[in-house]
Amino acid sequence: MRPQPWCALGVALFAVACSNVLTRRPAPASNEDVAASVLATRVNYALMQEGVPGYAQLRIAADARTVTLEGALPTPESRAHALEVARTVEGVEAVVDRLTVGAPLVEEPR
Amino acid sequence: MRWRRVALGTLVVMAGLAFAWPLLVRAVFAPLLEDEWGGAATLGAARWLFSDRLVLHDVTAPQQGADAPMIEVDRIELRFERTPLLHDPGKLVSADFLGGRLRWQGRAVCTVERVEYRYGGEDDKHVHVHGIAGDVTLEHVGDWIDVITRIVEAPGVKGDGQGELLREVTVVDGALALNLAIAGGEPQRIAFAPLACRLRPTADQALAIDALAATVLGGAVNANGSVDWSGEAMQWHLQANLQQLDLAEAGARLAWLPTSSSGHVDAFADLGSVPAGGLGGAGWVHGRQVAVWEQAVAKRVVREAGVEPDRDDAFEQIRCELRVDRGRLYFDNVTALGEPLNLFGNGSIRLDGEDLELGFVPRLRSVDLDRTRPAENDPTVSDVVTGALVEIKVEGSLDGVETFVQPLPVVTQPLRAFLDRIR
Repeated sequence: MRPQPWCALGVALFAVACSNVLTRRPAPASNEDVAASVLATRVNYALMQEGVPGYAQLRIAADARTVTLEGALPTPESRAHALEVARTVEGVEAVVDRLTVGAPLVEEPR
Repeated sequence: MRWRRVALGTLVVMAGLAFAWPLLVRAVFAPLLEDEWGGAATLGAARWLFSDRLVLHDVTAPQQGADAPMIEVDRIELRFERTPLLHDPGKLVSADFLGGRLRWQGRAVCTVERVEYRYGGEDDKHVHVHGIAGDVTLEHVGDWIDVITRIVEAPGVKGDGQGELLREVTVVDGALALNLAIAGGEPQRIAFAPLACRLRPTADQALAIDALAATVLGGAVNANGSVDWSGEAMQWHLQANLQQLDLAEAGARLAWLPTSSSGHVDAFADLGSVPAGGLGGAGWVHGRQVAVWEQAVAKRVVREAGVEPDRDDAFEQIRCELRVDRGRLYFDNVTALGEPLNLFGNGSIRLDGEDLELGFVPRLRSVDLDRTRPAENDPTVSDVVTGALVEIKVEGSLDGVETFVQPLPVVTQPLRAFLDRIR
């Protein structure tokens, strides 16, 4: 029996799906020593992507699934935004707020 | 006549006191200073008027050995919780060291405009250092540089095959320059200027580094961290954000990046010592309008795809996740979107620059046959042009890489077999 063209389409779609899996294949899973760093990195990246002003001057401490944000942000809105962004990061279950509102210690680069 | 004698006598006593008082103060405080300083110290003059404030002039820690550095400070202003001599002075509330110099073998190798110490409680102690200038090398200065040396020579971090990553730290006109040893290449000097940070002691042999800020290669660095050298193995942690690093400026200063480079890069790193020993951490890199086609590895990857890049080509966006784990640096989920290629991949390299292993799946952004080699001469071109999946493998070390192309059999072979059957 001759295969139908829709089968080819199905295989092609499967191939595209596999390509995504292949190009995003994970490296060996990180051990516990660096798991906290990976989580802090995710939070930092999310803050950058969401355009939280002053994100670069924050200290981000991660421990298991708890993240602590420490530092000064320029406005109450940016502080609330930073906390909200951190809570939505995959792997974060709790966010400890040690943020203050005030002038950052150093200026943002232009 | 009598009142004249009294007035004269008072004047003489006052003049004597005015003359003798500083000498008296100096004689009283010099031994105390020695205790505080932790070693022999000389004092030019001292000023104290029954208050909690004490000002010392021309304080010097004399040279104790031929190779020992000597510290000179023009003026030290101290303030205690209570008045010294009259009471137990308690904690040192603030200290300002103005006009400091570090001498080594008679030469002023480093000057510091001002160092401020503030004590607001056991959890609120910090030191500000302002205006560092001079010429400091690792081998010439004391504990702090030793701390840095121990960090960069930690197991698993190797630069030039001699166990050194950081060969020299130089501070000139407020710019901190790190002389990095790159595997197989010439040392690279990266300048950080102006550099400012706040050091906050957290224990006898531990401190926090707050609000480190500097400019480097046209961008800005913000960092914080901690160092604890109380144990046998030093524990340290550093978090650094790099914003708007200018690749054109980096290309002009760094030998391994071509001068034709352009674009801007943001990055983040969370690195530190791990309990098991060695180095661990994670980070990310994010670039905009990045053009590094002339870079050796990039050039070989593009050529393997059968494409010749144009001068105006650039990756509109680059994103990569980084992880340092068990002696290797991993590049996870590398995504580079631009002309002429989109690249997706991942890989890793040993921390000493050896055993590089990268794999990229290329996709042509737009097919321009004028820029591709003829398909009949290069089967890869037909694969890339038709969208078939191939992987460009990069292997070797930072000193030299090999590149080759291989199909992705899991996907391509069943699809090709199926298409062959239905033809």
